Formats: sequence, structure tokens, C-alpha cells
Amino acid sequence: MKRLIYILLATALSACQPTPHDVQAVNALPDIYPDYIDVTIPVGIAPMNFDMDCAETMVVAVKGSRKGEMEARDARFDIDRWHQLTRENEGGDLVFTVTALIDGRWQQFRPFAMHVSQWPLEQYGLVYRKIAPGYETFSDIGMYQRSLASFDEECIFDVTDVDGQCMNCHYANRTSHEQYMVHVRGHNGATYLYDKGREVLLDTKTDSTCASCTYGYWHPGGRYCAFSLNVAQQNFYTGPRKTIEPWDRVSDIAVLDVESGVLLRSPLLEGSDFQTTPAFSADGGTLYFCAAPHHDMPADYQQVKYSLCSIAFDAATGTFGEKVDTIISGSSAGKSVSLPRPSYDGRWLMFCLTDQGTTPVSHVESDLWLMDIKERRARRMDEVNSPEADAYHNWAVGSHWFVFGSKRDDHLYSLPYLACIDDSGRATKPFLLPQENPRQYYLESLHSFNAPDFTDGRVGLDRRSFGRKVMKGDRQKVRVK
Amino acid sequence: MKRYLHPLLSAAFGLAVFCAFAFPLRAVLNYHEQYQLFLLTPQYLTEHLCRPGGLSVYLGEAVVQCYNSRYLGAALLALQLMAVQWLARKLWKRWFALSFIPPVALLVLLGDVNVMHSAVMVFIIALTLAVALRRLPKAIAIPVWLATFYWTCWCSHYRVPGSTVSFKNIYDSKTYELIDYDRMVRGGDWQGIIKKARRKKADLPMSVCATNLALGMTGRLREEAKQFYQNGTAGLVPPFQREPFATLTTAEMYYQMGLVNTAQRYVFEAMEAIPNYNKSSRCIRRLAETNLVNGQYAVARKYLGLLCHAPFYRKWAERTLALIDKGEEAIDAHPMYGRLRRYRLTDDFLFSDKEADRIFGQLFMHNTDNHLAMQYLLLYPQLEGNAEKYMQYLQVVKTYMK
Repeated sequence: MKRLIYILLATALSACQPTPHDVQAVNALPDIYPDYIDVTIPVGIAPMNFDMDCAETMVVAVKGSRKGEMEARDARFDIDRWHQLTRENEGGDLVFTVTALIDGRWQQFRPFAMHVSQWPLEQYGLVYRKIAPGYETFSDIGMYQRSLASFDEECIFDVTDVDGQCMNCHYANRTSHEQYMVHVRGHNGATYLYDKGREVLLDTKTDSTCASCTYGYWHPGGRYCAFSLNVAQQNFYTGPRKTIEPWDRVSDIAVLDVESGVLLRSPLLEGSDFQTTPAFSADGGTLYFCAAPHHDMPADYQQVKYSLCSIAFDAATGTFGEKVDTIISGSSAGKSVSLPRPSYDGRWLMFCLTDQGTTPVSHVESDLWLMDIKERRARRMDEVNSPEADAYHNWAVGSHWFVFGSKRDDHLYSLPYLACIDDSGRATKPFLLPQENPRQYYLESLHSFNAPDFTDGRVGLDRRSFGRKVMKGDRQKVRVK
Repeated sequence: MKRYLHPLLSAAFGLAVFCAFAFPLRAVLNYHEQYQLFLLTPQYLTEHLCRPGGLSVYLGEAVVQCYNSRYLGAALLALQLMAVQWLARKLWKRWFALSFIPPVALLVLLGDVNVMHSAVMVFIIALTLAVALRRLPKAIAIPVWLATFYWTCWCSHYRVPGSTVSFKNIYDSKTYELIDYDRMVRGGDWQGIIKKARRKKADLPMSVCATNLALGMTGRLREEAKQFYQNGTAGLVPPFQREPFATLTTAEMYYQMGLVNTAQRYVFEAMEAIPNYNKSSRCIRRLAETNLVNGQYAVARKYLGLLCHAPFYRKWAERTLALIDKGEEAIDAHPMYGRLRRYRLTDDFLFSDKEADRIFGQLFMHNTDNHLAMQYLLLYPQLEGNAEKYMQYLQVVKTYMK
């Protein structure tokens, strides 16, 4: 009976919707939001729903270049049919024909394509921190996970679980949902370590280190996690173009042995110079990081140009190499390198380049660059960059997909974009993370999607238990070697 | 006559509440309205309905948004309290006088500005449920009441989180004085602020800042500042605090002076400092304006797009969107935005409130029409007690005014 009522209601509603007639062909592509024209998508991605602001309603026909077709009112695609269509057209195209009712007349736009990549994404979803892109005060920060196959978004934990305290991003070992870390800041601050069922709350500030662990990156073997230890501050601009300039008063690098709770240090990674944002190579034998000579801060903030450096690391003995290799010199390039992220297959290293400093998301000029690790040749990724800040990139495990945050939508809010990369290192046009009602979702969101990363499974953190443990204050103090 | 006595008493109660909140307590309405962003969208509704207590918060916010109009706001508050009394009367038919206890208790509670006005909606829902279920057997009525109450009203904040509970907060004159200054700053009622400060000494950091701003906006700061209480340079440029209330007054000072980026930062901070994690219609509106002045139209459109879903801001948002559509010339010709564009500094350098006088100087030298900056520039060394610096600044002003 209930089913019958639903069917009758759906029929009645669809009967009320206008159907295209006297359609006029328009020799232009439709102006859709998000811009999904000519993007490359993975098989099994959530439906790429879109909006067209000027249209009262629209009918979208989708035809696979290999097999299958579907139609959707207002570009709201049925999720099962959509998944089937992407599977049937792996390596092919989906061609979209939009017929829209604009100012009382039906207009049909030139068809456009979305390409279905031959490279599988093979990740459950994304993890990101939602945070207002503000200055010093933050209210409703939360760690979220989002399924890539659907629109399901879930809060992993937020400020309400930890008595309003700030939190830093989540660091997973090669996107693992079973081995990750999260920092909570404030009076009950801690580094929460989850290692395949083992939960530890660490106090990473010691008497002989300059600060607590900040930016982290796991060693692929899972025993170590490299951290920069930063005392970060920020200043604010008066002029109209820039808003905020975060900078480090001091910053060192250390590697935490998560099994013994010991911080491993090297004299080459600490001292008065700035060292930050470490990342292990795919084989774990090299630790990449950014380094800059010491400057008087904030007076000399414009002179701080970070270089891309590396140092050998021996996981068997937990020891560092004896020399630092400068791969890209910041002072020679007149630019600053930040956030090195090696691909998990060992071929590429993606990083950001800005005029100065170490927080690319605050720099409108921040672009993504890609370096061929073997040949040490880097290029700006013009195919994915925008005139606004592009930063916070992370690789999927297969190393053919990456996610990054971009402020291209409105200059302020960083949103997650995904793109595919082929064997030659050429990336496809990135696409904004799909939403069921994209215009409304992104319009009403007053958050940036900070530091998005992939996750290979659903992060199963128990929010309440996590909050209780953080507030309880029991910490395992890390020691320094 | 007896037949009409009870309704007349209820009406008199409602009228008294209306008069109190439409006149002497009107600032309270402004205070509560500015700490929420009520959107009339299906998404906003479903977000609330999906969580325990969401319905009462949603309905409470729907009422509080009407506080934009003091008469409508006061009338709705009065009607809500009358509804509480009427529902109480339904429950306790025999004792008419007792039915005034819940609304009067609510009135006392609402005297603490940290108690949110959505608490009134909780009373209405709770009593409505009780009235609706009163004929059912208790074994059924009580569990049904508890379950429904949990889903519609429980688990929501009815006090500002972190605020202290104290009888001293109820109709505290200092607090009410400050929220009245805040109302006048928001409305640009500079004469009202000066009048108020003359009537009663403004001696709290925020009221001093508001008074100085009002004097500056009316061009009387240099001559009359000494007639009012001053607490050093902190009364001119209050140091940044992580709380929404005083920060908005400081933000207004920077905005009026043309330090648009700094104003934007303070407004953003103020919004993020709202303890219950709400967003703020007042802040979103100002952020739309700062972004518009800075030429960041995409983000200005985003904020304006949001305000198009806020019934009391829709008309303004649509007008402002139309202004952006008209282009740069129209914005440059706008009396407020055009003026701020001429005032604002075009070089990017790092702001420091410890060297505020230098920034006032730069603003003035950038545009000598910026009389507010000039007045602040000259008063700053006087408040520091630095006569030498004052003479130096006076010389700069004279040179530039030539």
C-alpha cells in the first residue's frame, strides 16, 4: 500500500514537471556548476550532479561511448544506474546533453563529455578537516570522512567531543584507516595514535625539543612517523590582496618511533634554521622536508624561501644520513617550496611553490608542481592549477589519483578537487568533490576542506570514547633519543 | 466582567512584555538576533530536524530572526510568553494566578543575556505536549511526552556555553548598558552614543571605544575626547579579544576608518568566537561588504547568496548583488563602499595594533579626507602622554592639510 502511494506520488509529481518541446539548439556549452565539462572521473565515483543557475529546470541525457545511457531531471542522477554506467564505460566517455528551460524556452546545449579513467581509484573515501578559513579563532572544527561512491559524509569527531579544543589534521599511513594520528590542541592537548587497534595518547612536548609534534608523515613500514616541531605564529595584512601570513618562529624535524615512544633526532634537522613538513619516500629510505635559513621574524618574512631537501633514513636502525641534499634551492629559485608529497609508487613528488613562507593555502600564488624523482625534473602543473591558491595535495595509494584543496571557487574557501595522472605525469582537469545538491551544499558551507587525504576504509573512531580519553588527560610522554 | 478578567489580565501581561522589549530592553533583541544565521532553506531545516533538540532551536531561531524589527520582535516575544501562560492555564484550570508563574519565571531567566530565547520555545513545546497528552493514561502519556520532548527540545544549548550561572547576571545594568552601545554602533547611531555617554559615564573598554568612535564619526573627537572618560590607547584601539561582543565594536572602528582587511579579520574572529558555534547574520553581512570593497566578488556573492535565504536580509542582499552586477563604477560611486575604497590602503603590509598610530598616519596620508584616521592619529599620542609625538603628528597633519 505504502509502495503504491509512493509510486502514485512520484507519478503525480513527474506529471507536473514540464517536458521539453520546441527545443532550440544552442551552439554553446552549458554553464554548469561545478564545472564538470571534460573532467576525468574514476569508475564508481558518486553521481556527478550539477546545477545550472539560469535554468528553471533541465533534462540531462547521458550516453556511454561504449554502452548504456540514462536520463536525469535537473542533473540528479540515480546512484545505482550511474555506477553501472561508469563501470560499463571504463576507459571511455560519458556524453551529456543538457536541455534546459531558460526564460520560458527550452534550449539544448552542445553535448560535453566526462572521461571515465582506466585507472581505478580504489579508495573508500576522503578524510578532511572542516574549518572556517579564519585567522586565530576557530569554532566548529571537525574531522570528517566522506565516501567517494556516495554522498555520505560522517563526522569522525569535532570540537564538541573535546570541549571546544582545536585540532590538527589527520595523518594516515598510506591512506590506512587502521594506522593514523590526530593532534588535539589546547589545555588537554594530545597526539592521538591509532595503530591497528592500539590507541595511545601522546604528549609530544619535551624539555629538549622546541615544540610539540605538528605536521606528520608516516614511514611506509608503519613503525615511524616524521614530524616537524613548529612554534607557529601569524600576522595579518592591511592591504586588499592578502589576508594572513603564518610563519614559524622555530621549527625542527624529528622522527617518532611509535612503538617505543622515542623521538629520533639529527643535528642536521634542528637548530636555528627552519625545517618543516617532512615526508618519507615510497621506500622509506629518504626523508624529504623543506628548509630555510634563519631570519628575523616577522620583519624578514618576505625573505624566507624554503628549499626542498632530503636526508637518508635507515628504518632498521632508526638513524639519519650524514648529509642533507638540497633538491630545489629556494633562494636560487626565488620561491618557497612547501608540502612535499611523494607518490606511493616512488615516481613523483608533488609540492607547492609560493613567493615565501611555508603555508601555501594562505598564498594566492600557490601552485602545484610535479617532480620526476628519478630525473629530478620539476614542472608546474598548469593543467590543474588555478589563479587562486592550490595546495594540500595527497596521493591515492595507486598513485594515479590525487586530491588537493583549491580556492578557485571564491578565493577564500578551500574545496577538495580530484584529478587523475597518467604514466607520463600528465594530469587531467580536476573535478570538485560531487555533492547531491552541489550549488546549495557549497553555498551554505562556511568551511574550508582542510588537508584532504584519501582513506582506504571507513575510520571507525568512537567519538565519545575518544573525547573522554582526551579530556581525562592521561598521556604517554615521548622521550628523546 | 469576570468573564473578561482573565483574558484582560493575560493581554495586560502581554502588553507589558511588548512595551518592555520594544522600548527600554530593545537592545536585547538586537543582541540575540546577531548571534544566529537563520536560513529559510530545506537543508537548514533538515539539518536541525535530524538532531535531538533541533526543532526547538529551529523554531526559536525563526522567532529570533524577527528581532530585526523591534516591534515585531517584541510582539512575538510577548505572544510566546502569553502562549506559555495560556498553556499553563490549560493545565492548571483551577488556579489562574499560578498560570503566570512559568512566563514570569521565563522573563526572569531571559534577563540573563546568556539565556537564549529559544528556551521560550522549549517551554511552549513542553507545555503543548503536556496539554495534548493530558487525557491519556499516565503510563502512556509520560513516556510519549519524554520521547517527544527529547527529540524536539533536549540536547540543545539554551545558555551560551561556558557562561556562568548567577543571579547577578539577571538584568545586570552594566551588561545592558554595553549591549545598548553595541546596538547603537551596529545602527550607526552616533548621536545616541554620545548622548548616552554624557548621561552616564562610559567607563568600560567597549563603551569607551564606542564613544570615541561616535565622537570621531561626528568630527568631535579632537575637541571633546577629554570630556569623556578615557582609558589610554586601549579605549581608542582595544586589543584583540577572542569574544564576539567587544570585537564587533572594534571591527566597526576599523571599517569606518577604511582598514577594511582588519575589520574583516575582526568580524570573522567575532563570528568564530560565538560560543555555541552559531554563525552570525550581522557578521556575514559585514563580511559580504568587506569582500565587496576589496573586490573579492566571488566570496561576496557567496555571503550575499546565503543572506538571500535569510528573510530579513534578503532585500538588502538582492540590492547588493545588483550593485555588484552593475560593476566597478557603481561600487565606486556608492556612498559607503566608494568612500572605503578611497580610504583603504593599497599596499600589503603586516598589521600591528601595537603601532596603530602609524597605521592611522598612513591612512591619513593616503587620503586626507579620512578625518576619522586623522582624529585617531592626533588623539593616540595624547592618550599615551607623549607630547613630542603629538607635535610631530600635528605637523604631519598640517603639512598634508595644506
